[in-house]
Amino acid sequence: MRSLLTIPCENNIRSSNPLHNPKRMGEKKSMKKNMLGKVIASALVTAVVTTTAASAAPVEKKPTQGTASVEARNVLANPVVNATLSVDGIKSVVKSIKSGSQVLYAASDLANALGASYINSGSSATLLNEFHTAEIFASSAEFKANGKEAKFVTAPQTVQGVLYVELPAIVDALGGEIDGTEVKSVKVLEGIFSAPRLINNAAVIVNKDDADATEIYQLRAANNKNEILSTVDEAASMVVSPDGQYGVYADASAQLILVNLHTGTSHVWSSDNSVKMDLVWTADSKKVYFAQGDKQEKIGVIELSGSSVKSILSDKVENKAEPRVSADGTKMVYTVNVTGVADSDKESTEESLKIDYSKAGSQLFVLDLTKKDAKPVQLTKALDNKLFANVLNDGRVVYISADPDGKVENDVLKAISADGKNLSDLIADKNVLWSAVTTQDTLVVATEDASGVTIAQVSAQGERKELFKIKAEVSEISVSADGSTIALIADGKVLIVQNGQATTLTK
Amino acid sequence: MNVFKKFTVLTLATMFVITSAFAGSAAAAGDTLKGKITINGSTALLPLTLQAAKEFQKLHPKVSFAASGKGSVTGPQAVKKGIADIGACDWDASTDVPGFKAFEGQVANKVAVIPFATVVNKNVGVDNLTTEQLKGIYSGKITNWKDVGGADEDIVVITRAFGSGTRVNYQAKALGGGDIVKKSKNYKEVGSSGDMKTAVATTPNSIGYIDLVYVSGDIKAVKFNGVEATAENVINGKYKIWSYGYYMTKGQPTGEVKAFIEYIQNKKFQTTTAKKMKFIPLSAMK
Repeated sequence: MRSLLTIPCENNIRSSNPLHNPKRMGEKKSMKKNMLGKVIASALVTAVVTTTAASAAPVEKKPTQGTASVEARNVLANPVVNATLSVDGIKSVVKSIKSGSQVLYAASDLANALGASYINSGSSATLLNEFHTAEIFASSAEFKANGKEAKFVTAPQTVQGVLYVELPAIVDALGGEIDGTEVKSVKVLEGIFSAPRLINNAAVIVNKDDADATEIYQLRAANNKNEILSTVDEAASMVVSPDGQYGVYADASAQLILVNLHTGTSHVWSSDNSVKMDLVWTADSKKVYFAQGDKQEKIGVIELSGSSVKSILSDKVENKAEPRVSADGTKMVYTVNVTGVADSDKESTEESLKIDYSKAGSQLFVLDLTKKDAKPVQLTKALDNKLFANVLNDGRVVYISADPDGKVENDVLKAISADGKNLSDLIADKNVLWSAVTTQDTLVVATEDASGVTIAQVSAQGERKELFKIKAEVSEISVSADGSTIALIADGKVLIVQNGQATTLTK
Repeated sequence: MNVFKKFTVLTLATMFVITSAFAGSAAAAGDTLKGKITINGSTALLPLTLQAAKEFQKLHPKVSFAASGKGSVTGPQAVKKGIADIGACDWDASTDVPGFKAFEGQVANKVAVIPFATVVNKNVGVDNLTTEQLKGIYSGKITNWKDVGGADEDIVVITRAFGSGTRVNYQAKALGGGDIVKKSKNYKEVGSSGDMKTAVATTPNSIGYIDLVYVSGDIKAVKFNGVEATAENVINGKYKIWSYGYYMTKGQPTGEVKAFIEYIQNKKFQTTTAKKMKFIPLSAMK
């Protein structure tokens, strides 16, 4: 017969995940205690000995502070019963016993269900997965979680040569969590996240911003598993190639580091130590362009097939930023942050100091990448703020214009012709938050109105095709050109959207 | 090097990602911050300021920036005159420093850690200089490289003009408060970090000083009292020629100015953008 049994799980776990430092764990302890206090982990229990199981009467306990509810439909005279645990949606049969109000599970079965290895050394047993270990000692409430002292509520017991342990403590020690009736082999990440970067239709790289140190994760939509990729500060600004093969970032010495996302290995791509900002891959994933130099007075490039950095433009105009290349690789647009002009006498007296800010602001320039030594062409002169500039294959430059004087309420999506003569509004009826051009030369924008944030494809004529809509504070977006995958940060959480359905990958 | 954990990537489906895989921040819905922030002062801090402004603007599109650089002292001067909201300065201008009185009523907001280096032309064979040797060179008492272990060549002294924050810090920390004495020959004053780099790179037998961010292949940094000018040596306390960079404001900052200063002080900006630009994150200093 089958009956429902929920698992008591008073949280006294002192273990810590080695990926997290002790300070942060301390900060999170109260939150975790709360969460585990509410856990009701249920399992279908099958009596091993039918006769005793059949005579059992249901017992129910109400949840108490720090203790999960206990709902036992059967109290079995014979202590060993088969329970069914659901781990990551996959059901496994696990032998269990009751010890007072606690249910203990066969450690070897738990290891199997959780995808961990199990090593029995006689007086002790170890469960381990790729990142975690739990070392258990027969009849001792003390155990080691990832090398640190931890404690069970009830000491493990050996019955008929099988070691039985508490479920919540082991799940936690192995980096998992119990969520309602489901055991998850990997904890759903919790925190504040930024910089979503899609590396394929099912995974997204994000930075965890609330950690004490830099933590960069890969999250997978299919099973909500997460993996830490790096704790290197500079890797937080890693830019992923459109084909998902590589990531690149500049380290503290301004060397370019190339990361192979298949193997997880990285190497110094170029030892050139000139400052490199705003790295951007070309659509074919063969080159990376960047603003280069102490004052970003150059545009540099490196090719995947080589390791030397070349400057393709060095016109002494300082403060270049955000180069973007058209999908066909023939054109580039970049921003120049024009500074004001300050002047004073040789003694730098206060009286003589004058500053002319009349031309200070951001201006857009385009560069023909098909011609060697091509001269850049200034496209704009107005003093509006120009954001998210991109160049289309037809030469038009599309950008968001924001009026700092507030005379134009909405931030407007504008398009300017290749010769700079024709400037038009593509979207002015809604506030435009963000825009990008895909490797397929498709323009994608995010707009907001009272109903929420809408992500849409925009045609050359400004017609919009809605891809996704959400009522939340969206701070960052990454999207596939065909609209099949969108990754975004909404209210600090990471969402991945496929076929119009959003899955929250963090909490 | 393998800083990344090895992981298995699922089959890469054919897809079309944004050409910038880091697709970017968007302004928060309902963002109400707007206005114009004017910033003047340190040329060393100007690239950092412009980078921060660009990032900040993506979160707050209606905030515009007008920035300029003319040396540190012009930062608090501009704030005092009311022609800049922020005065970028390589020293705490709310206190007295050699050569400059405190700017009363101004608040110093730390925004970066700036290491400085003694630099020489690549033809100079000297690799290390002590405080006393530097004092001798900049006071004009030592005029030949052979007196500090180099070749028999005249030393060409290049210095920043009066009012430079780099000069204030260099005098205080490298020269132990010693003077920089103007000379009739083999002496040149320059107006910015960029000019210093160019002058040292193109003048044989020259010596100068510059923010570490500007040190690259065409000039050579020398050790100070046997210690290499590196971020690591600044953090571990071995290398002494560094300072905080400050944003001076008239009283405590408010509104968009406050938000911008908080943005640049934030750990995320400090450990990514500022570090990439060869500044040392504020949080790295004990």
